Amino acid sequence: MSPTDLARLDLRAPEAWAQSRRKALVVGGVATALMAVGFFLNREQFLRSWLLGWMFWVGLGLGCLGLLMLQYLTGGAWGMVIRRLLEAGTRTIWLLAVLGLPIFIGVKVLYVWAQPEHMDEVLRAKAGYLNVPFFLARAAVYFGLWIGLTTLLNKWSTSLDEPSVHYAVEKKIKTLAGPGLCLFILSVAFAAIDWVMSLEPHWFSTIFGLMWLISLVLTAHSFTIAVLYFLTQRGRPMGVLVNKHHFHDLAKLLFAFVMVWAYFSFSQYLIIWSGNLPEEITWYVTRLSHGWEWFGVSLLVFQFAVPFLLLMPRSFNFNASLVLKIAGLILVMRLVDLFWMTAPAFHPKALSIHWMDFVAPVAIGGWWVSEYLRQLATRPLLMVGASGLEEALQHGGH
Amino acid sequence: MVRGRTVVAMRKHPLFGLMVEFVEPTDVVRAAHEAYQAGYRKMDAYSPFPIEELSEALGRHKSGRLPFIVFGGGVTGLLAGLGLEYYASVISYPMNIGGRPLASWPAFIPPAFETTVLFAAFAAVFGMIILNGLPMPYHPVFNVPQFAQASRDRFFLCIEAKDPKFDLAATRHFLEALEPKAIYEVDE
Repeated sequence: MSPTDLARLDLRAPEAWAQSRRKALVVGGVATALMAVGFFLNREQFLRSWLLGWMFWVGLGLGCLGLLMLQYLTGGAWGMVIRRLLEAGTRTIWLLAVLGLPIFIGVKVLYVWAQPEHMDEVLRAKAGYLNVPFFLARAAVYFGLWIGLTTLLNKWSTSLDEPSVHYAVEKKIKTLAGPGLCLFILSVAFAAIDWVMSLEPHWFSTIFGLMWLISLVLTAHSFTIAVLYFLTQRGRPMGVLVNKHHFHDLAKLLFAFVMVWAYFSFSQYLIIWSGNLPEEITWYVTRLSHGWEWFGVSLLVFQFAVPFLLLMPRSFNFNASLVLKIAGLILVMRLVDLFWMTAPAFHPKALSIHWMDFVAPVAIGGWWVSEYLRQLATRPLLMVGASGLEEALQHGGH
Repeated sequence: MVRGRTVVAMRKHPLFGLMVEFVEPTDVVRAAHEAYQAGYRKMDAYSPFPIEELSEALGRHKSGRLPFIVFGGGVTGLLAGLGLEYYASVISYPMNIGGRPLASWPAFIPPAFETTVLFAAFAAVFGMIILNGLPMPYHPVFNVPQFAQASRDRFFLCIEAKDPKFDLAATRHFLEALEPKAIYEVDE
């Protein structure tokens, strides 16, 4: 199918998804109202739960940005069919910045290092970095960078909707994607240190930023697989254009990301376990006792072992509905992992799960999903003018 | 039927199979696909470079035993690595390192991972060699002089006479319909 033929197809997102948008808004609104009640009942817990939900959805939006830049750099048929899905994810980052306001306003309630009564020798020495104005300034810089990259990538790619040659535009996008990806990885690593690692300001781990990086890539990749699956289920045109070889590639990539997650997570554990130093090992001592260890075990089984074994056989990777289920499992485990990273910081002596820990991700998720679907509907689902799209759609065919 | 039998009776050597020659890689993939659809199984294709779709067209992915051999190799490597470490640090030479248990699984993982990869890789290489029947000093396809071009710019598909569906006249007719550049009878 030539670019001109593709341009004639109806490549808009399905009409019925507008309905889902309204549903997402209702769910998000109700959950947010519940959170508002929770805010007056327990202000501290509200912020802790909000941070959990916010980190999950921020990871989703940012993961889309990272994968999009990676795709522009590497190319490949797997990415040609998901570019517009990732793009829609990047255009939600502004909303995530807004949804982060409770965290930025509540810094002094959420983070120990911002509370003068908890200051000690170590925190005073770290105060040059860990202080409220600098924390907020850094957050502004991160979001400025991410929104800037998003704006440029999305602005330039509109011309790829015309079925003609755009080598100049594609070169421009690639030139931005390289340095953009470097800045993205650095900023994401610092953001993870600021927003999650500093919950326990005495503790440190140099691989922590990379662990969040792979976490958000896993989140965004799994989510995109799910969206692509449901798009192809709706028949023409995506159901015809996207074939099992695209899902096979996405599944292989998911397998690789699962391995990277296991590699980073185990590296941190092995190094801290081997060193066995009091200032480092406490993080794991807390998380592997008082019932928190079950979260660690569940991560080992459902974030690593099960996806690893299920994504290994070639025939399983061609089974799109199985890959969808694995992607769903990974999305759930991302939330469990974030909970395991954050919650024991507040309750080191006993397992504690609050009802707001379930409501907050739903509240933020409702707003986010509705915005994602709105953004998805604004552009065709494929860039018909992108070079290599024709070959990408013939993937595996002869 | 009668014609086929007369041909066989006139042969000096027994027949190994029928081979067709193609100029384009896509043609040999299409031919292999159609031959598989037609029910032929004992066949092989030859190309100067690897074509991923070709092994799929030949149905090799469905009957492949290699993945299980590699998986078995990996599991063996994992158990062998863990066994070696357990023997070394618990039975043969127990040593107190920072008060840790003798059998400390976090420390065991990296070497066990390496032996897993090593054994799986060996299983893949040697399993591939054995399943391919290598080393193979003699193969009938080389009796066709033009086959030398299989390592340069030609693509071949050979259906063996051993295939239950093979019938010289019918198979030749089937292969001719694929419009090959040439068709050869391969001597055993």
